[in-house]
Amino acid sequence: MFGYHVPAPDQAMLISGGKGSMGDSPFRVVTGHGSFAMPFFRKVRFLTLAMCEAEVAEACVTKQGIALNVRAVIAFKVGNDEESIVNAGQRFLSDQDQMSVLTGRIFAGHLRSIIGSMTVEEIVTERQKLATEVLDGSKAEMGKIGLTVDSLQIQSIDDMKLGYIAAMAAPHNAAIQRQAQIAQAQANQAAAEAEQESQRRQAEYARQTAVVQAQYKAEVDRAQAEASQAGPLAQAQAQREVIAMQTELAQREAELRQQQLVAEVVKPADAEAERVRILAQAEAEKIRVQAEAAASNNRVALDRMVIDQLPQIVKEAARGLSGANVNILNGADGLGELASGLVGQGLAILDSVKKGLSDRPANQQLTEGE
Amino acid sequence: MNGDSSAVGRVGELVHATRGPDGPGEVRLRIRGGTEIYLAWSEEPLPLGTCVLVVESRGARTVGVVPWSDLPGAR
Repeated sequence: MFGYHVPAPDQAMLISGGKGSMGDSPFRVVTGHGSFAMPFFRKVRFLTLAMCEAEVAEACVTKQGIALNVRAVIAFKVGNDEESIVNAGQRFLSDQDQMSVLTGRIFAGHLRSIIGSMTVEEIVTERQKLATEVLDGSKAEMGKIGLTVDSLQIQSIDDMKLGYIAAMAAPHNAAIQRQAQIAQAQANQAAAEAEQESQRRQAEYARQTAVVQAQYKAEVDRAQAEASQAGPLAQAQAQREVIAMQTELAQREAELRQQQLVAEVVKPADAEAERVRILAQAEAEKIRVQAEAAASNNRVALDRMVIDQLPQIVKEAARGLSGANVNILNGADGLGELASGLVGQGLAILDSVKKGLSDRPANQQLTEGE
Repeated sequence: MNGDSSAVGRVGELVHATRGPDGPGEVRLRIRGGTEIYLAWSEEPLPLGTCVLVVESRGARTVGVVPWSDLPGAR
């Protein structure tokens, strides 16, 4: 609207031209809200409250007398209270970009004093001491012109090829490198151990594999040998059975032949032999009988002669009797006498017979006729 | 601006230790809706993190502080 102004959130609105109502301030300071400013009678300007930065590149000398090229960056802003805004507005409102330049120049001198009170090691390592030095050297002065320093950061330190920083880092660097080399050596050692262990395992596995392969090959060969032997073995067994059957057949044939021989030869031979034996036996019997007969031929002949001559004998006896005229008178006694007489006669006859048989042994008894 | 914008009477915490007469520390104050850093002077050195009460204003963004035990619920 006409005559109504609103500052941005990071701006302070400075209204000049009035009097009386502003107390000690030469102008009204409005932040965060709008205000009505009468045109032509009031001047309205805006002062930025945003963060600004200034860079410083300065050759400084440290506490040890070592020259360093230091680059630093300062972050600052206009203070938020009315006093700071008034101070800063009176100084920088017409050329607000001058704030960074002027701050950089201010800090160039302060930085020299700060670096001069510190050693290189402190600059590198001690952040708290650097902050304290900044606090002592510059913040109060900056506060006087309405600026508040948020941070001072040293970006880089260059010893201009003096070698100090490198030398400062050298022992640590050497230690680090030594540790790195040790670690590298240990890693190499571990790697070598692992590799050799791996090779050992591989050899072990190769050996086991070879052993297992040999075992399998042996089993396979054995199985193949058995398989290759199985054919001849079965053939041999079959041949053996065939031979056994042939043997049995031959035995059967032999038995058959034997039976045939028995039937055809032995039995007839036996029969013939039996016949011959019987015939021989009969012949022998006959011969024996003949021999006996021959042995007893004399007696038989005698007997037959006796028998042949019996009728002669009897006829002689009868003739003797007929000539003797015998009477039987005495009954039984008379008969006995007769018989004894006959016997006597008969014996005489017999003796005469015996005399007729010249080749007859004399001791042979003669029982016939009794 | 209202009269409450003064830092005096506020309670803050030291973000840099004060060194007594040797130098200032810094105190962070909750003021005007945000937090701001003021240079802080004290009679005796106060360590980092001490809770302090702002008792005086010593010029641009500089205050005098005394140690202060914050009461429960005071903020």
